[in-house]
Amino acid sequence: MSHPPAPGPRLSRRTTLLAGASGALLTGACGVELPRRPAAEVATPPPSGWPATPPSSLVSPATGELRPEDLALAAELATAISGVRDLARRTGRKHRELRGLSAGLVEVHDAHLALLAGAGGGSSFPGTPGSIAARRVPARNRLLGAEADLSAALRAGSVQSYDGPLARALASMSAAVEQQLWRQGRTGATA
Amino acid sequence: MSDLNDILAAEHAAVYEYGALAARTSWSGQPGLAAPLAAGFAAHRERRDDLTALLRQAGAEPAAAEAAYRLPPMGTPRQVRASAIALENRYAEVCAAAVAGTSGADREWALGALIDSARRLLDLGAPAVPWPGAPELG
Repeated sequence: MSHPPAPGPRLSRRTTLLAGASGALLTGACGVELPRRPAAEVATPPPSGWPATPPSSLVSPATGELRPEDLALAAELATAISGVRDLARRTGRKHRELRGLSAGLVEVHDAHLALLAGAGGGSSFPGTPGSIAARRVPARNRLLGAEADLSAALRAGSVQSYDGPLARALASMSAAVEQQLWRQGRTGATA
Repeated sequence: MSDLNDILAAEHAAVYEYGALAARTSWSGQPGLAAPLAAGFAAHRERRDDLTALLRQAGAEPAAAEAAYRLPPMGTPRQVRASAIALENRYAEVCAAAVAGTSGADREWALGALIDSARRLLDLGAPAVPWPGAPELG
C-alpha cells in the first residue's frame, strides 16, 4: 500500500484550476476560463448501499494550485493528445472509410485538450509529422496504435500526478480513449 | 484505504444488482443483454474478492455488504438495460473518485477498475463519452 505524495512547492495563482460553487472552472496561464457543467446537473444521489461521490474539482481544495511537476505533466500530455488528434484528422481525410472512427477520436481529444490547454499554458500544439499510409488497413493500424500509446501515457500520467483531481481527469481521459479502442475491437491497456 | 473501501462498497452493491438484473433477463429471449449482464456480474464479483483480499493484506477492515439493496427498475428489458447502465456509471464515478483519493498501487487499481467499467458500459449499449466516471468535466 502506498501513501499520498508529500506536499511540495506550489505555483502562483496564475495557473490555477478552480472549482466554484456553480461548477468547475478552469483558469489557465493564458487566462482562458472554460465553464464546466455544474456537478449538480450530472450527479444523482446514490441509492442506498452505494458510497456517495462528492462533487469534484480539478484541483485539491486543500491546496488550490497545481505543483510545477503537474503543470509540466499536463502540458506534455496535451502535446501528446494534440499529436494523436492531428493523426486522426489526417487519417480521416485520407480514407473515407475511416471518417467515422476519426470523428469519434477527434471529438474526444478536443474535449480533453480544452481542459488541459489551460493547465498547460497554451492551446496550440504541434502536429504529428509523417504521411498517412495509402492503404486503409495500415493507416487504421497506425492510428489505433497511436491511440493505445496515448491511453497508456494518460494512464501513467494519472498515476504520476501529485494532484488527485488532475489524476482523476487523466484517468477519465484514458478511459475515454479506451472506449474508442474497445469499439474497434482493440485494447490499449490491461484493466 | 477508505477510497478503496468505497469501491468495495460499490462492488457489493453492483454484484447484488447485477445478479437481480441478470435473473430478470432471458438468455434465449435477450442474449444481447443477458451476456453483458452475466459478464458484469462475474467481473464485479472477481473485483470484489480481489479488493477484499487486498484490503485484508494491508491490515484494513474490508467494507461489509449491506443486508439488502434497493433494486432499480427492471420491469422490461429496456429498464433492465437502463438500470445496468446507470449502475455501471455510478460505479465508474466511485472508481474515478478513488483515483483522486489514492496514490501508487491503490490508484492503479482504481484506474484499472475505471477502464474496465468504461468498456463494460459500451458492452451494455451505452455510448462512448469523453469523460467516463467524471461527467461534470464535460
